[in-house]
Amino acid sequence: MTVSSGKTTRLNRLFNPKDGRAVCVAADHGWMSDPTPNVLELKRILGQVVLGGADGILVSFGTALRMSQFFEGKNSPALLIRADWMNMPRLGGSNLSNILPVVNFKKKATSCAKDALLVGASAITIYYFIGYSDEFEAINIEQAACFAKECRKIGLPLIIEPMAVGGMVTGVNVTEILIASGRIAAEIGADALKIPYTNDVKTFKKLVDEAGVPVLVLGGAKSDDPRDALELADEALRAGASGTVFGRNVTKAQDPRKMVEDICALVHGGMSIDEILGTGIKKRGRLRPVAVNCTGCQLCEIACVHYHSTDFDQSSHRLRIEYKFRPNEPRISKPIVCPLCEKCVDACKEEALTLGSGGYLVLDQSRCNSCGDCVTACPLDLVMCDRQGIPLFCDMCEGDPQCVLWCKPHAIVLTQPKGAEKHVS
Amino acid sequence: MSLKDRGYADNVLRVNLTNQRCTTERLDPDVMKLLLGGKGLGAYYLYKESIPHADPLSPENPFIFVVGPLTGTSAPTSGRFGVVTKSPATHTFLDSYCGGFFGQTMKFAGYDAIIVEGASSNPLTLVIDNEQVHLEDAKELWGTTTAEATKKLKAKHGEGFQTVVIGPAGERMSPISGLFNDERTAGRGGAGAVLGSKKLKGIAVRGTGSVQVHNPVEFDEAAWVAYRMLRMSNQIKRLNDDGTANILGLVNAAGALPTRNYQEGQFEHSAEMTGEAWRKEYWTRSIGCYGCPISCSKIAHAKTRDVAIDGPDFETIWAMGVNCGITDKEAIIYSNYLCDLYGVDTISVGNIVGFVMELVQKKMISAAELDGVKAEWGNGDALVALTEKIAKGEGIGELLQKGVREISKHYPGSEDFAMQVKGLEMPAYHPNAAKGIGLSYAVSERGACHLRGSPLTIRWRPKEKPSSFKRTNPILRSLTQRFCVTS
Repeated sequence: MTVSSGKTTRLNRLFNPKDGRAVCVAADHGWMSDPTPNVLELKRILGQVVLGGADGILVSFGTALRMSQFFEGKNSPALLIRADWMNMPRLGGSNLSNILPVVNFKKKATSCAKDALLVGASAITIYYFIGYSDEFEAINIEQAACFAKECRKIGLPLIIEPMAVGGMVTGVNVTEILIASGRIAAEIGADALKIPYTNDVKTFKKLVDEAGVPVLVLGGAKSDDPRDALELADEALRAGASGTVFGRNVTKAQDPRKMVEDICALVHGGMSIDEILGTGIKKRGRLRPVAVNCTGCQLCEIACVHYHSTDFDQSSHRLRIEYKFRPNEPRISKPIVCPLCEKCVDACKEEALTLGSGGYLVLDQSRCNSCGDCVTACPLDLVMCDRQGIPLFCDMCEGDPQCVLWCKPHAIVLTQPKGAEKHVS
Repeated sequence: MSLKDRGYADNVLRVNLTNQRCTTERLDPDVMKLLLGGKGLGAYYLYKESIPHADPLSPENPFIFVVGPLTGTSAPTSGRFGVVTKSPATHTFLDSYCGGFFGQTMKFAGYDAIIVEGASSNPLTLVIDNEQVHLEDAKELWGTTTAEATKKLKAKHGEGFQTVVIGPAGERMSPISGLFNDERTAGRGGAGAVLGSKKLKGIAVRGTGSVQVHNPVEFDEAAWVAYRMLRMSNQIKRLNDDGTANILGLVNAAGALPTRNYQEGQFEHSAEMTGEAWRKEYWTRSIGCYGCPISCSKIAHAKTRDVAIDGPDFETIWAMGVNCGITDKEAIIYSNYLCDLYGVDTISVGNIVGFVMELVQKKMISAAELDGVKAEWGNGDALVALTEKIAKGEGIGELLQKGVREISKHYPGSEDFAMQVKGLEMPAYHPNAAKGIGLSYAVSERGACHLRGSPLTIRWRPKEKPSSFKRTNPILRSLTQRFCVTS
């Protein structure tokens, strides 16, 4: 594919020429939906995003005009303009986003390539809907081709965002449709794609390979855990994606700057998620229950069991969820976790059970005589013996407690209490 | 490759109540290749073992508890169990599902299915402690509420046991009765009545076994991605925040929220009934079922009465609120509480009350007939009074507990607004707003059911104003007549 010099120049502004990758932030929300808090505070958030080092920011035409200061200067992010509008998430606040009937579904071009170029855009982004009626798809293709033609004339890169929604899309065929849509978009003349992750490296690799143009993966709804967005980006990169266009996962993040920096570290810096988030390194600390957050789902127990065994059961977990039944009330639950009181260590006459140098309990199996003293010593009843008489106790998953990782409501947290150091020999 | 390392327990418990014998049998590996999950397994056994034209409340009707191969693993939302039997409400296939903590315990005890057959002459409970199975006398449990029976069973056998019980309504064989695991319910279709006819008050089960998956590494990867997808989903976030009632505003906006016994498709006070409103006024915390990160269940404390419930969920808010024109949340909470206590289905009860209110509106029933209850639209006290009568089967409740179809037989001319298909009361989606819903209700094997295909989002009728919908839907009527299996 020959690309005009204008396109190359502008694509180089977006994609880092060293690694060919880009970290973009989508901030075109509020353009088609209700103003949500992240939209109202866009100025502050975009300031953070720029400081975080984003390569590009996707905004509506109006925002591009009003907030042009973010795109000035040599090292400023590339400006991407959303050039079309649709009514699908217009009533987001009342949840009507996904139920507009096909006949009411509208998509319109709102600015042309030339206008975008005049305000300094490095690319424009448009939707391409696939999965609705054939007529609607035909209109979409026609419109996209029109944009492609305009862009070609003036050397402006075109990013197409395929959206697989509508009656023809099911959970079974959505991946297949997405893969096809990527190729169709490239054939129309897209210079890059903005596309959702297929939740599977293998199929996303197929998508990237078949598209043949750089693929930027989008994030979707905001997860409470920043790790989720990073994992998604990591998998997409492994599948061959050229970067990210995360929106809500950045703009709604507690610290948008940190989030962008983290994504940059992943995309450009080649760091692993554990390195970025400081996880994976065995941390000294204690488990602390936060009963008010507990929903009683027992995922912590499942994670605990499954870390220590490939099977699943509900009897060998080393922490537990305790339910309280009061008259006329549903159950209330709270986690009971090992506070590292070391009563079991004191009770072990053979000195088989000790607090190891990692800050968690370790068992020297050669010394253990299965006397069961540790079981009776535990004031919380968390130590038990398995069928061979070997005590099962909370070993904090050797410093990386799975219960903390799996409990997303944060009913179990890892804390560093004062004076934790003094226990360590 | 055995079934055991593919998630199954490869064991079925057969309990014959007539001769009080409990036996176990293996699954047939060739058959299992053809069956999908717990429902498939239950349908297979029901098909194999039921007799044509058997009365659902006779000893010939088997009652089957089932779990799927994923139950007990870390697959999200897999902790549910199902019951499969012939329904006393519809006289055809019934499968009803329930969250909570019974499903995985049954699996860990080592059973993919529990088939209850025959009938006992005296009340019994089934006690399963892994491979130790026995039936014991339940004289002192018979007649007790679900909460009391659960408490007594747990006190007797220990907290490590999970229970399912029926309430007094199930004992009376009311076709709207369900069965209860703590506060979770397999409510629809009258499963409780079938157990009541067999005089089985409940089951207590403890399981300390394990479940294997075939390829733990790939399984864990897939499960982790599935959990991430749940966390990064708008819809799930809404479920988490506002419970299942998060969709009430949407259904109302589409004109699909049946109001005053399906007379209209929009409720003028819907803003007071949304999940958001409930969260602000009543819900104190979220609770989750086994292995489910969504926690759509919410706990609501009544302010004027000393009760708290798990709920109300979307269907209950609709049935007891919108469908009766009621906005009195205290009344809804208390009625929900009564339904849970006595073991009846809230959707059916709300439907029945709505139907009675329309009878009153049309002056087809007198207040005297209703034991003095002034059942007018929007009257929360009437809802509580009628719910209590239905739950206890007292006074007019003796008739009302039989369901809308039976009641309408006593009031000639009321068939046109008896909102049921095959004898099962309709759920919270108005067929007039989306024709597909009507088709789904008409052809569903379970009667009017909200879990069988949800063509809700495919096509609303776009041109008409939702409030102009009329209830008499000729399409639905003809579909119902054409496809309904009537007993």
